[in-house]
Amino acid sequence: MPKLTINGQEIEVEPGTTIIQAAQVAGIEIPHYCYHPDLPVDGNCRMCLVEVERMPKLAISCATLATEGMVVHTNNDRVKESVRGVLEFLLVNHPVDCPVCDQAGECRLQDYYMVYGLHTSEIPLEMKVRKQKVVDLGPMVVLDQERCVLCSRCIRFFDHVTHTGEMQFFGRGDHVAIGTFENRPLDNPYSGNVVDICPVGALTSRDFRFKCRVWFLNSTDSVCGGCSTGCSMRIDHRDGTVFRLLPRRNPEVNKSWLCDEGRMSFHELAAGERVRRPMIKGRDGMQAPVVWEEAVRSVDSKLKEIRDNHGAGSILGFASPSATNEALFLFKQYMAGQVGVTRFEFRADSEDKSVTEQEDNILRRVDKHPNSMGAIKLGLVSKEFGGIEGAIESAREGKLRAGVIIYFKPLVRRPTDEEAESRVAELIRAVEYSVVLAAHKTDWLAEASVVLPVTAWSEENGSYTNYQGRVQLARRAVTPAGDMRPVWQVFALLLAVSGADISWSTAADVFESLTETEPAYRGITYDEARLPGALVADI
Amino acid sequence: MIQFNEEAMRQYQAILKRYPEKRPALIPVLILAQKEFGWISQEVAEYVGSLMGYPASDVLSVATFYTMLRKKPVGKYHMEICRNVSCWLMGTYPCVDEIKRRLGVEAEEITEDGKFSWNLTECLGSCGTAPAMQVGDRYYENLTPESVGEIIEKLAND
Ligand code: SF4
Ligand code: SF4
Ligand code: FES
Repeated sequence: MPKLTINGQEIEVEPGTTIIQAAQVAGIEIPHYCYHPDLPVDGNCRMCLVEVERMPKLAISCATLATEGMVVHTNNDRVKESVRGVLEFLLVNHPVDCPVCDQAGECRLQDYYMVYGLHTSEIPLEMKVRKQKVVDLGPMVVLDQERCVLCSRCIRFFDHVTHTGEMQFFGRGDHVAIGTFENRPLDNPYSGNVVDICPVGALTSRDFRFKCRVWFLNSTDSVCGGCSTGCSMRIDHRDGTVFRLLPRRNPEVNKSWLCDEGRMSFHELAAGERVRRPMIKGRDGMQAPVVWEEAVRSVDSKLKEIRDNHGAGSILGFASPSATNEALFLFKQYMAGQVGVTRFEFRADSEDKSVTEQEDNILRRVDKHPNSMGAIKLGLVSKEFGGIEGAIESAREGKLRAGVIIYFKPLVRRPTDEEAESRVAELIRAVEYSVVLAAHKTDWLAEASVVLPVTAWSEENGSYTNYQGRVQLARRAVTPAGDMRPVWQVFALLLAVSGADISWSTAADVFESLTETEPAYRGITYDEARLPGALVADI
Repeated sequence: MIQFNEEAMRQYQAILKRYPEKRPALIPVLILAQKEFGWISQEVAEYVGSLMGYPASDVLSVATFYTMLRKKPVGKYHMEICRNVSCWLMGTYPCVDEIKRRLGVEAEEITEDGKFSWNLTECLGSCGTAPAMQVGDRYYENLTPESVGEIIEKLAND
């Protein structure tokens, strides 16, 4: 393994590591535009110049391998002066429209100018080469050609990740402009990623632009709720409103990418009315609001009454593949441990789609739920049962009398969703007693015996298990208005009224119990569940 | 939709055979397309792309890099007059004035009958016989305003 010295600091790196990567390991940042860890090296921007002793000229650190005994300087006067020169050239034709640019605050031109530039422009504004501004590139991206630094990251993304090749440079010299053929819209389900990787304000998000200055946003680590891939992401929010979702780099799952549907999934969450208070159906068949205390007492005693009269086999636990591991764990603890339920199911989709099935060969998976694997690993499915259809059947035959159902609408929609939802509605109609934990209102919710309002994705701390069996933590970003509770808390309440001798005050406590109790999750710590996440045991 | 005719198709196949990979054939194919269609329009770029299996953006990117691949239509006879030092010293501009007077169009414009267009060009490598001009595949050398006039007349009657 080569050992080298960067700015006097000695480090040892894997063979094949470039200087820019080695510097990053050593905590030294080298300015760069074209280099991106998940794209092929191009070496075109020259911002990453460093001095390597005994090399006659400065070298680009993104394309120079670290070798044994190398002595590198990244911030001496020679390097700084060169980088300043490169930056000046990059800014020659730049329109400097920062006040109206959506990238301001997270722009590499602005950032590096403050560190390396601080020069005055030699080029009067009227002499700058003008190019197209505000080019519509489809539903995700807006292009401003004048702001482009010609780093080719976007080109390489479409060439090497999606293999659709939409973007290219046209022209030559200082007339080179980035764009698509005839300004055609970007036509692939991953186009939003180029907004993230564009180091400047040339590619901005159609959805997010001009909604909020980025420095007002707070960021919370999360995991996408859009499908079973479980991409690591970050929720940017302000005052309880989610503004955008960005990928967190996770080499084991999503690299630096998100699919467009996942990226936009927070709009689905915001769409539709929320369930805000616990409701119980009275003798008149109408639901009326109650306090939580009353709701859980009533549910607990009613379930136990049915169990005592008709046996535990007459009760179904219907979990959701969109609930967190913590939620599913306490659901199981209560249902199986306190009520004695043995019949579990979690899929409303009739086809038994495998969690791992790919929708394309990049990220997306067919299963549009973030935690199906969690439900499987926690054993919330009874094979002999025949799925939700079987449950409906057995309810019609009078064998199944009650159901406790967690229902979250999928955040990435597919045409089959309605069918799946109508099956849940059918199940509720078919049983005598139904308890539904839901975040959003639906027509059929009025038919449930009890409705309990719960928080949804982005509104609670918890973990999800993706298709690989990788447990990843998601943090609460926003708090909805109303009397909702996280699903795990609802079952913690039920466990308490039922007389269980253990209590949990945070999701982290539940996680700890989960990893002590469930064989697949045994030994995983909270720390391990952060990036890149920890794999469950193969049980 | 535009398309290579049979003969052009044969030439296209022959070009492909000249290279171990397809990619380097792109430029000669674009030159062929320019011969066939006059210039590299967006339609031509898209056609070449579909023929060779490259995105249209890719083809246009290459075409816009090379100035000799034309991105604008030209006249039947496109006259390119050298403006580099030798030709300039030997009298490019009097010839240019004559061209403008006779054709009545500026550089890159086409005459109404579609027959002529002209432009200045960089060194044609014909310094020994300056000033020089290229029309299609043909060189005209040792130009004077008179000889330029004769050339135009001859071509006009072609
Ligand atoms: S648009 Fe952005 S990502 Fe694409 S080449 Fe220009 S600066 Fe780079
Ligand atoms: S691939 Fe799945 S997990 Fe990843 S961003 Fe898209 S919907 Fe979300
Ligand atoms: S980052 Fe090295 S040349 Fe661009």
